[in-house]
Amino acid sequence: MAKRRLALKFSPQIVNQPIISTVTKKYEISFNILKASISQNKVGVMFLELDGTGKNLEQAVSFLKKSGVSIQRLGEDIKRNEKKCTDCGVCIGLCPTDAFYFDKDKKIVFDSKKCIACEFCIENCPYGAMELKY
Amino acid sequence: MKKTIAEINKKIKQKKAVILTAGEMIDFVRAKGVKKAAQTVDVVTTGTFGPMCSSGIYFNIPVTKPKIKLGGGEVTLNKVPAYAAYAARDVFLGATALPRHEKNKKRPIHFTYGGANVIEDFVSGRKVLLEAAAYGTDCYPSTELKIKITLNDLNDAVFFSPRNCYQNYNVAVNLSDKPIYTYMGILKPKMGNASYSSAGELSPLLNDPELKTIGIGTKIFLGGGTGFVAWHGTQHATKVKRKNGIPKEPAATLALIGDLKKMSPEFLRAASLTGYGITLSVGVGVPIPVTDEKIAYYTSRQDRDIFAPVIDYSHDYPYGKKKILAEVSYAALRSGKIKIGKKEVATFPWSSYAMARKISFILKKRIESGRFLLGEPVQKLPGAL
Repeated sequence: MAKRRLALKFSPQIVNQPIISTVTKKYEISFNILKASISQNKVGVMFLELDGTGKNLEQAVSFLKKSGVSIQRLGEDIKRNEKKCTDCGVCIGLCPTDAFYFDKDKKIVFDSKKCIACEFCIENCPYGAMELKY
Repeated sequence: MKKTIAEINKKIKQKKAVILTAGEMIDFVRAKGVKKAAQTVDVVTTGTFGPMCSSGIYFNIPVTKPKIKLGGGEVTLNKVPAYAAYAARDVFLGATALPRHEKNKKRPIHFTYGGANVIEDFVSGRKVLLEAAAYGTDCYPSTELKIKITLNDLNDAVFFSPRNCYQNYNVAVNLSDKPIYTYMGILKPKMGNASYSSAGELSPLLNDPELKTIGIGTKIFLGGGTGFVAWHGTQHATKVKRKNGIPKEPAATLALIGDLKKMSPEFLRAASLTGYGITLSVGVGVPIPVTDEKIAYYTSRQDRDIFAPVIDYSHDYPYGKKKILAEVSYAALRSGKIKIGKKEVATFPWSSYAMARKISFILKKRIESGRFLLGEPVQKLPGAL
């Protein structure tokens, strides 16, 4: 079994459809709602933790995409590789949500709670120290 | 009371020398004063770790049969072009070298592999594919070569940096209305951020701003191993604006040399700068002999005493305009925010303070062990006061 934490965005056109319940039944996935903001005819946002077999999770995600849901991974999947990191601090300039900061010893701390998984640090860390793992 | 390097070396051999890192020296002088520090402290160790584009290696490949003359031919290492215009088996590779396919990518380019990566592969003990084409001569008949080599296979492998350890550097901002991709990082439009790159109070040349002790022959920590100051670096400048003796703009530089085989991948690290290129981050530490009170004074200067110029990298830098938007201290830069005019701008560094400090402590330990003696400069650098 595998877990995946995702941020889902539903456009007003699809927000009224029972997409999540279809996914959970069709692919035998259990889910835990971390945060949700859904109302009729408006953009809906849902942070979910999905639990299922790896294969089913993959199919569920592609079903969500086909249904018009836009998907982003949540910060827990973004990891800092301590061996590659040189504690330079370039990431502080890259991150739009201030998820990186220096501790008192001038070492980098990554606060995944603040991370919105935009992946900008992964693409632009000079040492390739930020990685996607799930 | 003045001390000579020979006297300090005698104490190092007897393990009686007092060695402090540049960080520790600040605290010592704050507590005991400059005079006492000059009497007590023998050596201050510095450190810096950041992208040093002007870095490379040269090496000599083993004899292959039949022999090949690489000189005048073409050589690539893992498809990265190297320079082969010396003798038959000597090759030079620069950190910023790139294979053609990297340069043809969609912009802004996310560079994946270049000269610095090859250097990192070598020091990590990995195999590197050397491919060569030569024109063939009577004494060197081969016209092609394809071999996998490791650092151990090479007769000599030498790290050489024509310019390193910049004494102070610019702070970069972007005044335009679109993001720019520079060697100082991704700069947000309309002065949305500012980047800086110096170890400040730990930086080698900022601890000896008048070049009183650092000269040709100074022995240093280089890339995890040992190296020497070979010459002054390119773009070395000493007639610069100063505040309390410390340059307020990019000034002196060093050319560094050392045995690549003794270096470590922890202190020679390939870096990819989006939209700019591949470079090599190099760890350097220079010991400063505390020969007199002036050196004691300079080695105890702090980030708040050192100032850097803020320069626009969207127009002024590329077009060679020397307009300084503001002067800010490294203490302000490290606080995470600086003020430029009325605007508060978030800062981020390129140079790793944690690594710089680590290097200053490693160098301190090496000297304390009695095995690392200070090099006595055989010649001063140009502009030394």
